[in-house]
Order: sequence, then C-alpha cells, then structure tokens
Amino acid sequence: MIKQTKWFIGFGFLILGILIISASKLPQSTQYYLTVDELIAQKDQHKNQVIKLAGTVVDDSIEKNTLNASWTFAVTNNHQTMRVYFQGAMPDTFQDGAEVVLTGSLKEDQSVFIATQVLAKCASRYEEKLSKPLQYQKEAQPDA
Amino acid sequence: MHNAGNILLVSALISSAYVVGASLLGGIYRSLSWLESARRGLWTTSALIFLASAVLITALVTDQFSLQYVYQYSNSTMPLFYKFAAFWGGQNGSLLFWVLILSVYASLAVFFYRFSHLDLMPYVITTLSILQGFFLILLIFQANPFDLMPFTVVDGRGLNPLLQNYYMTIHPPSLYLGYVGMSIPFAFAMAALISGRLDNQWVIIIRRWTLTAWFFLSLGNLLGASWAYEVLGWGGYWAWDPVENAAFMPWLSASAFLHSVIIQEKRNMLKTWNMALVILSFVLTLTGTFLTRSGIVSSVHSFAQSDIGTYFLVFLVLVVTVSGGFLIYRLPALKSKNHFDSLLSREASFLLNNLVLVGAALAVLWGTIFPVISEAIRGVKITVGAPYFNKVMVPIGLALLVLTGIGPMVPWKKTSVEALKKNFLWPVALCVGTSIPVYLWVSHSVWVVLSFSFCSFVLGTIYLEYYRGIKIRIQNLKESFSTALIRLVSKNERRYGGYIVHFGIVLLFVGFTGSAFKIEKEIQVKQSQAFSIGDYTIQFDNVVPEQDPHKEVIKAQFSVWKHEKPFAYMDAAKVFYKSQVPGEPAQPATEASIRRSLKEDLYLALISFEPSDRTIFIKAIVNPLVQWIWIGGLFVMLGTFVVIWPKSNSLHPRSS
Repeated sequence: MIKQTKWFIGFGFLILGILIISASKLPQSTQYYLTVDELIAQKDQHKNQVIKLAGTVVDDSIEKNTLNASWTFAVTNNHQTMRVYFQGAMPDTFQDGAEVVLTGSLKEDQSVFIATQVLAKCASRYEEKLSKPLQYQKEAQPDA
Repeated sequence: MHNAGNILLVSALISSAYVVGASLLGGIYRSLSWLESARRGLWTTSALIFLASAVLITALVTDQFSLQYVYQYSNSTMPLFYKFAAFWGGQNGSLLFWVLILSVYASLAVFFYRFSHLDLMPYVITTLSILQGFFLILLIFQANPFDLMPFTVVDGRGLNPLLQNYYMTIHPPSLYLGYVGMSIPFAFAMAALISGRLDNQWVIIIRRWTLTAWFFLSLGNLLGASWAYEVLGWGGYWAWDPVENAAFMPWLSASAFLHSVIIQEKRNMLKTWNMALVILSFVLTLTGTFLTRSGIVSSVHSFAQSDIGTYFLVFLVLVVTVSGGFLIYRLPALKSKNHFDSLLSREASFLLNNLVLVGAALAVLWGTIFPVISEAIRGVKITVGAPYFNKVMVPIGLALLVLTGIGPMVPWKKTSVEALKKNFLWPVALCVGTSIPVYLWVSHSVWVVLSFSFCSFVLGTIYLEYYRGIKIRIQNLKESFSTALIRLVSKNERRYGGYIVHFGIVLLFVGFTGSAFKIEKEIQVKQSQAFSIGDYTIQFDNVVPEQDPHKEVIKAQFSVWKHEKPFAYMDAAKVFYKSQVPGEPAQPATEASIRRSLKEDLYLALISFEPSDRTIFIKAIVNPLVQWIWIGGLFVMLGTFVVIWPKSNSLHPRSS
C-alpha cells in the first residue's frame, strides 16, 4: 500500500508540473480584451500594447482603399467611437453594424487603432432584427 | 406545428418524470415490474422526442415561416438538405437534436440490456431520464424551437452562409453523437455507484459505448478541421477556439479512459480513477456546452447569447455534486487489492499516458476558462490566444506520442533489461536514425526533429508488433502472409486494431508538424499579373461571375506553374448567399481552392475583387503535409472500427 502511495505522489507531481508549465506560459499569450470606451479611458496604459478591441461597426463608416486593399472604419460601444485602420483579409461577415473583435494596437499619435486581425460576428444581429418588425410588416402579404 | 410541437415536448417531460420515479422504485424495491414500466416509459419519452423532432423537420422542409426558428434558419430557396440540416443549424433546434440523439442511445442501451444487468439498469434509466428531462425543460422554457413569430413574414432569413456546406450535414451530427455518447458511460458509472455493484461489470459494458462516442468525437473533430480548412478561407484547420476545445477535452479524457480500462480488466486496478474519468468526460461535455452556449467565452462559433447558460451551470453543479458525492461515498469499496510492481511495466506506462492525457485536458480547460476566471477575480477581461495552446500542447503532445510507442511494448507487471532491449533496440535506432537527417536537411527546430523522430520510433514499434505476430503465424500455422495478417487482427482485434489507431495518430502528428513549414502570402494582383510563392508561380487570369436564384458566385481563375512548368488551373470563389428577406444584403462566404498532394497543399482564397480596375486581393498558402492529417484520421477511424466490431460470439452481451 505504501508503494502505491509513493506512485501516486510521483505522478501527482507530473500533473502538477504540466499545470505549472501551462500556467507559466499563460501570461505571454494573453491579451487584454477591452471595449472602445475602456480603451479610450485607459489610453496611456495600453499605448503600443497588442490588445483585443470589441465594438460594433458604425453604419456607413466603412471606407475601402482599393489601391492597397486597406480599410478604415469606426467602431463604437454606443458612447465613444474609435477610428480603425486595417490592411489585409477582411472576413466575409464584416459589414455595417457587425460586432467585431479587433486585434491590434493604438499607436503613438493615439487617434487610430491599427488592427492586424478582424473577427466579425453576425449571429447577434439575427436576434436583434426580430424586435424591429416594421419593414417586414409592410412587405408581408395578407395570405402569407 | 406550434401546438403539436409543444404538446409533444410537455408530454415527453411528464413521461421522463414518471420514468425517474418508476426506475427508482424498480431499483430500491428490486421490482421487475417497475423496471419494465420504467423501460417502456423511457421508450415512450424517446418516441415523443422523436415525434417532436419530426414536427420541427417537417416545419423546416415545408417552409412554415410562422415558426421563429424556421424563419431564422431557413428560407424557401435553400436546397432540401440544408433545410433539413437547419434542424441543428440554430441553438434551439440543436438542443432538440441533442436530446433526440440521447434518446436514440438510451433506447438502444435499454433494449440491448433488457434481459441483463438487472441490478444496474434501474439507475441507468434514472440517470438517462434525468438527462432527457433537463434538456426538455430547457427546450420548453428557455430555448423553444416551436415559438411563433410575433409578426407575419413571407420568407425566412436562411441558414448562415458559412453553414451552407455539405459538411453541415455531417460534422454537427457526428460531433453530437460523440458528445451525447458520453452520457451512456456516465449513466452506467452512476448506476454502479448508486447500486454499489462496483465490480468490473459496468466497465466492461461501457467500453464499447465509450469507443463509439470516441469514434464519433474523433470523426466530428476531423470533419470540423477539414471544414474550417476548406471554407473559412484562413488556410488553417485548428484555432484553439473555445468550441473546438470543448470538443477536444472530452476526447482527451475518453482516450485516457480507453487505456486505463485495460488495466482494470487485466489487473483489477485503477477502479476509482476509471470512475473519475468517466464522470470527468461527461462533465467536460457539459462544461464545453455551457462555456460556448452561455456566451461567457467569446468564440467564432457565435451562438446567440441566451439564458440557457444559467440552466447549464445549475445542472453542471448538480451533476458534479451528486456524482462526486457518490464517488467519495463509495471510495472504500473501490479500493484495489493489487498494486504497481515496477515503473517498467505496462500498467505504469499506461498510467503515465493517462496522466499526460488528463493533464492535457486540464491545460486546455485552463486556457479556455482563464478569461472567465480573470474577469471574475481581477475584473480584467483578457483573451488567451493560440500561442498559449501551441506552447503547452506541443510538448505534451510529443510526450504522448513517445508513450504511444512505449506503452504497448512493455510487459505487464515487471520487465527485464533483456526484454526491453529486444523490444526497443530497433525502434530507438530508427528514432535516432531519423533525427540526424531531419536536423541536417529539414529543420533545426528541436520540436520538428523530436516530432519526426518520435513518429519513426512509434512506427518502428508498430511494425515490430505486426512483424512478430505475422511471423509466428506463418511459421507455426503455415499461413500465407495475407491470411496471417487478417487472422492476427481478427483474433486479437483490440490489440491490433489499437495499433492501427496508433498508426493513424502518428500520421496526424506528421501532418501537424508540417505546419512548421507553412508559407503564407496575402497579395493584391491585377488581371494577367503573376506572383510567386514557394515553388509556384501563380497568374491571375480572369474573373467569372455565376448566378442562380440562391446565390451569386464570383470566381477568380488562375494558371499555376511549378518550377516553371505548367502545373494546374485553379479557381477561388467568393459566394454571396441571397437573403430572401427584402432589403437585406447577401451574405458572402469564401470557397478556397486547394490543390492537394502528399507533400504539400497549394491553397488559394479570394479575399476581395475590385471590378473597377479588375484587381483581386488573394491569400496564397503553401501548406506542407496537411493531407497526412486526413489520411491519419482515416486510419484512426478504421482502427476504432476494428476494435468496436463485435466478435460473432459476443453479439448478445451477457451478464457476467
């Protein structure tokens, strides 16, 4: 029985080791996840730091530069807005009103967020539209 | 439809409540008539759930847009099989699909064991009925797929275009079959704990059920990886997204169980550990679902946020408390009389593999829930990216790989130096023999060298096992090579089928290692301009639009040269799925073009097209060795199939 206990202590250390290694790797791989308002409030703290920025694309703010396939647009959390510059592959779900999560950083001049990656979601829009039935009521036919 | 669906769901809930009571009475009073009644009740619940599912599918297929669910996930122009697949395309339908699969599994289990395991079955039925009841409550009160639209519409919004792909018809069902399949082992584990029948009976029953669930989890994960690779347009197959992790964690813990169960069968050890693994696997499926459906972890698989998270959390706490409580209560009875003799024994190496697998699952869990913990404790929201998982999982994965080779070659109980030399001399030589050329000519990365060397080590051990087995049969029984091979596998299908799975795992590792050599380029090109990547020169020839009532396609055509020689024509497309709701823009999706070969894939994804100056923005990737992942996956499936396949004399499971 004592033998067995020794075993389990030994193996317990192994699991512990794996967990300690994984815990120690964590800080290098984490990024702050901020809303537009939070970023603007803590500009200095996050200057030049790679972060994730969550917000909604402001309607009619998307401009595409076809010369170098870059994009500028604005994101908001209903209060403050932030201009964003992005060059690269835009996901198919990116559009006005889309909820986006941007990876990137706020550079020295602190006015434009330079994004290196854009993730866009649209599922929540699916839900939202249900509460805005007006346009469908107009189009709806009586026998439908 | 609305009424019929709701009546069926409510009746099913009432029936499941009855079954919980009846099965408990059957168990406590050891009454066969109550057990019989519970059994029929479970079939009734399942039949009602089946009918409710049929109602929803009928509504989807016949375009009943008065139902909110049909409006949201279907439209009149979608092909029939996507209308059908919309059944699991949204949250509410997928929960109904979940409980439908649970009902199929439960009905089969109750049918198979109708004359056997009479002391376990009452509590198996209780557990399964509580599970059914939980999902029914969720469906009726929180995520009802039969809710009506608040206003009249003529057509629906259609399934999310990213989901309109043939993978949608196979990936979710396969993953769900894997996820839900873990419920049956859990039900038997609970039955063993409650009834106190803690001998090896329950473990032997659930081995095949766990294998089945594991088979579908593996298949589902592979199909998901393959889908991401072909459709999402980013050229990868695994991103450590919370939803992927949610499916990966139970796979890891179930893999651990499938190995440690062998030790319980052969040496009657690790009973507590096995019980804990079965509970852990089931709890991980619930946790994964909770994490991804509650919206507390952000994921690209964005299910709408809803309150079902709270329901899952409450149920999760209940499951952990009850199963954990019973486990502690039964600890004295689970004590094993045998103990480990030596570190150089198969049971020790299997236990080591178990700990590494569980450690891997915990490391993934840690990375997945860390954002939640950080927000709760420090009030700071953070994300954990793929770099964490890659840093942690690469060493863990390699440790597992090398154990894959060691485990089966070490004898039970204890071993001698001679035996080790006999078994490991050639594989180790092969391992070293691989590492030198890989280091010199392929890569100086220590991970790449280790991975390829370990792969050849494991291949060496598998070859040795087959070689010895076949040689003995040819010598002693005078069989031909092919007869010897077939008989060797079919006489001992668990062992040699397991080696086929291991062979597949090695190929998977070869494929994963290829990602170290990935070349990626995002580039803008004008018509008839060319660019180069790796050995390839790619010229953008033309853009061709195509159209049907359902979608518009923009297809960019390319001519590709390899080493200056004509190689292929490829077209990468952007597809715009039309919404049938007036005034809504079409939804775009990317269809990548992939030229596959065993050495490397050439991957082209069209990012955007500018009609005014006929310019495209294109992502080009050279992805080495990716095909080995799919080939390895096929071997994993084949091997699991060999292991699961019932022997002709054990078609009717008997009570032990």
